[in-house]
Amino acid sequence: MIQESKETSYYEILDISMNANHEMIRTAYIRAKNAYTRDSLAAYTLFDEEESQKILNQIEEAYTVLADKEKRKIYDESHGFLLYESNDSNMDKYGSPQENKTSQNAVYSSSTNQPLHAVKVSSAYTINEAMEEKLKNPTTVTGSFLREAREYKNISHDVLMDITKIKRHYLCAIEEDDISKLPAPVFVRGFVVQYAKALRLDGEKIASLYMSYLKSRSTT
Amino acid sequence: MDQIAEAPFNLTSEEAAPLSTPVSTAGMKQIWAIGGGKGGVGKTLVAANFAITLAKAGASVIVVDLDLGGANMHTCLGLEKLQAHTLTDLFSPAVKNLADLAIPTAIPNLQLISGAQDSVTVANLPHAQKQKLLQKLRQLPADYIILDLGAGTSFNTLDFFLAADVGILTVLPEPTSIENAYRFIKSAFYRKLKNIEYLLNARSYIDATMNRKNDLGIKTPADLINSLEEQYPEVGNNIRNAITKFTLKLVINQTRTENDSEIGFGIRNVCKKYFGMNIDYLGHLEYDSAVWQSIRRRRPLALEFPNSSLMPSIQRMVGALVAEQAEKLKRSQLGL
Repeated sequence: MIQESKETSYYEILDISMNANHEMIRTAYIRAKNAYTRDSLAAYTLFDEEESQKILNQIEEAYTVLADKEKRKIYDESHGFLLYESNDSNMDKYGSPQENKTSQNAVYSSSTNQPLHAVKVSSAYTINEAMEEKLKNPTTVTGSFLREAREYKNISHDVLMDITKIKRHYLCAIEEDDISKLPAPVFVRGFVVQYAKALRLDGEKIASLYMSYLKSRSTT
Repeated sequence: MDQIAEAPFNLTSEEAAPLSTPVSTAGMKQIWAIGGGKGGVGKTLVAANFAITLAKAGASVIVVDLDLGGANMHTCLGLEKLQAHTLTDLFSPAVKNLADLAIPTAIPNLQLISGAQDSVTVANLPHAQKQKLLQKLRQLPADYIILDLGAGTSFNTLDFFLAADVGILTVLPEPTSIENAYRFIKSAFYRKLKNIEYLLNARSYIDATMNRKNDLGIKTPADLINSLEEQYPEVGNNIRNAITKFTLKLVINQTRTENDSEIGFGIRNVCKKYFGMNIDYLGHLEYDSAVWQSIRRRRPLALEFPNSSLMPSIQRMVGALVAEQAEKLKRSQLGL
């Protein structure tokens, strides 16, 4: 069984680099699928049928997102895989095949493949005990809660965009709880994790609370 | 992680340049070990022809037949007479230097240290003797030392495989061979873990997870590393680094169809998910009856059938490995 506690990226699932172009993704998808089909010699000894099926589903999911230019962009943004805005040469990967484009431009930490932006220090702000407590143990998280937290920490949209690489209109839509302007929930969740982490808050907790808030709103 | 591991599809022979320039490499002494869980999968074929290719390209090469108890490299290199010295002599007072055991072959720059006709006891070397042997192997006067390992997963075989700079696994596109290859990788994985000293207090935890039915939800070595990182962050991190650094090279031998050669990519993907381990698929060797003829004539393929369709594949693989190792050396010298 594949552990779920540690999220495996779509790139890892397909066994490709984050700069792979469309052609590479397609080849990797076919190879990965072949590896786990029922008559494959490569997998049956180590994974039982149920486990293989689960991996096949992950492969399908990964391919559905990475093969789609728009979905992939959103996915990259929400996971911090994209370090520069779209005018950067790094964006070639979404367009026509540009062979062997390595990650020269993108700065990835070699050991973790995580972007290095995490070290960026946020602006100075005056500590307010009550506010700190509220941020530490929130009961509900709404868009205005996030905005309040951001303004309290003295972080502008520009700085937040720089840290998270999430586009401004998404940041605004999150703060305004504007579901119509937001992508699929799985991406929103990723955005909010990044958003909260940039404010040095518990990303997972904040994102869970925000997602349940959005859900409650959309059902009422 | 080195650059190769980050390359889009790792290094496959198809993408690598053929071996055109001499590979004599001052200061880059390399030990390449060739293993594989099963007998008859082509370990000796690969070892012999990799060695000949390197020697022909200008490097000095010593092949060491470590198939202790079942050595037959001398036959593959076209040597008929058994030599005066064998590995058993290493432990006799008469031989001061391992290099003294090396005998010349018909190929210039290529020498052989054979384990042929050794006493069976050598197949189970005690730890201290093994360390001594490993140390002496490193000191051999050659650019490349090619180890032809025996079948199976004995501690001897695993230790030589893990101690090498490059570990090459040969596999046939057959269920039994692939099963054995996984068994080999699994044994190497746990042997590697055992050799890591900083496990200490995580040891009992690891032992508990060795059972596939443990109630911790840990079913694969990759799960184990993930959960160790949570339970014992420092230990988990060290293990992940050690396992990531250990890149195993894979050669699929006797492929008859395109599906056969594609199995290499499948094994690579499965190993990544199951063991959390990086595997470079070096390339495949097509099924070729010339191989059997060359063995029957007790002559190396590279000499008997230099135009065999396998030779370009072998040259590409060796070229890719040489280039990769040179790059690695350069990076480590630059402190990267």
